[in-house]
Amino acid sequence: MIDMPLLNHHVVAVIENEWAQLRRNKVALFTILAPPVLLLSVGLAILLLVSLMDVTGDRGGYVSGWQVPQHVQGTDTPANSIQLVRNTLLNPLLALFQVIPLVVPMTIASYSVVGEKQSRSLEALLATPVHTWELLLGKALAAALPALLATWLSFDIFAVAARLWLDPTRYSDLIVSPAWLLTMILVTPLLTMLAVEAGIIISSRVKEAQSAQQLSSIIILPVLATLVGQMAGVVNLSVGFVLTAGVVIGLADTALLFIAVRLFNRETILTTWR
Amino acid sequence: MYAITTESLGKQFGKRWAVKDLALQIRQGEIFGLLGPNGAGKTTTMRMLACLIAPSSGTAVVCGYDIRRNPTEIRRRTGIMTEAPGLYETLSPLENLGFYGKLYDMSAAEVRKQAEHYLRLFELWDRRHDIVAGFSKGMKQKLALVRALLHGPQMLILDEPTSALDPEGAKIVRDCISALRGEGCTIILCTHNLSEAQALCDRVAIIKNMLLKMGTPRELQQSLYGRQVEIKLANPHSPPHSRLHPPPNLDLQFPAPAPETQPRPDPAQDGNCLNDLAVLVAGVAGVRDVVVAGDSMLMSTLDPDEVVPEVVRLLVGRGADIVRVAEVEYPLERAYLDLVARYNGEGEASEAF
Repeated sequence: MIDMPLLNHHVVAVIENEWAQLRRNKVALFTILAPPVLLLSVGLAILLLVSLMDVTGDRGGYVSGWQVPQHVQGTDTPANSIQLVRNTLLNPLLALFQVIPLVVPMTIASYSVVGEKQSRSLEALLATPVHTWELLLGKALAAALPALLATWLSFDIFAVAARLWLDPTRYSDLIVSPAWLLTMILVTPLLTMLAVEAGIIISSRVKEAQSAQQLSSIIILPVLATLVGQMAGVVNLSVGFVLTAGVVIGLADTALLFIAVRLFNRETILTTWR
Repeated sequence: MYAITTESLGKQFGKRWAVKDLALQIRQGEIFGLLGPNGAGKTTTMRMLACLIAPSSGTAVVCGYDIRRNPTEIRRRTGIMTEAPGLYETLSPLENLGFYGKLYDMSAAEVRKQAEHYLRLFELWDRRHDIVAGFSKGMKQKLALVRALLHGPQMLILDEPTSALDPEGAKIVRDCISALRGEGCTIILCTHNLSEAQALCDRVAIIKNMLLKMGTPRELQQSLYGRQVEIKLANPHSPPHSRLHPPPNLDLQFPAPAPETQPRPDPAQDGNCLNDLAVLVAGVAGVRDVVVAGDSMLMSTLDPDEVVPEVVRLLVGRGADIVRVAEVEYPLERAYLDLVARYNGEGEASEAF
């Protein structure tokens, strides 16, 4: 029974402790920082390419000697051109950005839980008056907040670059479309939660953070499938698709949360976690 | 007043009982040793008392709170030092203690004060900002003990507190444990170091999936061996000059040798004279058993205060030169080993003194 505000001083202490350890772990820090930096770089490169591309059809789909793929060409109307460019180049970026809330929290959660197991600090920790929900929430937030921050910050930098490199019409049509914003506001937190839960559940069963990450990476597959589907023209990231994805991920979140809470009790941790 | 009482306390994992029907009464301020071989259920018992795992049967009251109803209150009043130090190795001692202080709802000033006190006591103050990963095993053990003491617990559970320490460090820890006894802190000491248990513990419980014995180390020894008195003689193998004339009033259970027919003992035969005296002593009322060991005899009796003067009179009357008469204190280790061996596989009912 929770009889205190959710974000109490125990939860804050757990978060601070997690981050203090993370700051000293160079491998974990690199694993956390690399995906946002890499994906943002890819995003900015594609954005630059799109900004150089004349989508009005004046130059027949050629950009500095690079030929736009066949299915993007063959249209003379700006509206169709924009749609095609979005489908081909920019929309996959949206899925690409969603890799960040999956990879980053999973890494942090893996190091957090496996780290406690390796240092055998769980028993002393569980012997304190801290509630297990406080511990779970603290660890989850410690993993989720940097991921959310990294995703939104990457997207903000991307959006600012798009505002500078694209004309206002193209910017509003491509970057701040309802599907993009809905994805960032709804899907990103839900994916983050999914990754945290998966990280905690898998970490409770393995002995090394790397093993946990390898196993956890399976949940990236649906995002990658979406990305490939978009590039192949099979999936269209419409508002309807994003809402449907949000509901599915939300249901998965609920199921995994149930499992994580059941796993995260004192007796289970001390007697079955290895 | 008891700080801890357990009643039929038991824990079952699957079909196996790790510990069963445990009935303990641990007094406030007492140092209580929990002894037993590996797999005897010591850690399970400690975890139940620290509210880390729930019992399968029975209940316990710790620091006035029921372990089933008020686990958080018990954890608030309990400090635990586990077998592994379990520290955050990438953090400094102050960072480790700061984190635990927050979990025990201490203010930053309290944490600082307590941390400084104990880190100075354990000679870790100069390393307070260093990363724990660089510490020796003994230093980590001491830091784990500081962490357990940080919030001033009413009950302290120590699992092998000196196992990784050098003699000096071990002494510091033992002194600290003794000092805590005076402050009213109840300490449960789980150790395989039986001499340490004998030196520190007011009482011990020996468990092997159930309670085998509980009491003071002396009570434990007496329950197994009775009270034993060592009588050491000078020149034990020389015939006592008057041994052929026993006092007439002795209540001997075997016939005294006839002076005329008794052959003079051969000093070359080791132990012969001492053995003869032992036979005489064994006949004294109240003496349960006499064993000759080297140049001494060990006499078992339930009441040394009554029996020893009579035995001494007998021996002196027989011309024996007594060098020393002292009650024997057996090491706890011997009693422990004998007890565990005796109960091994027998599944006898538990017993308290």
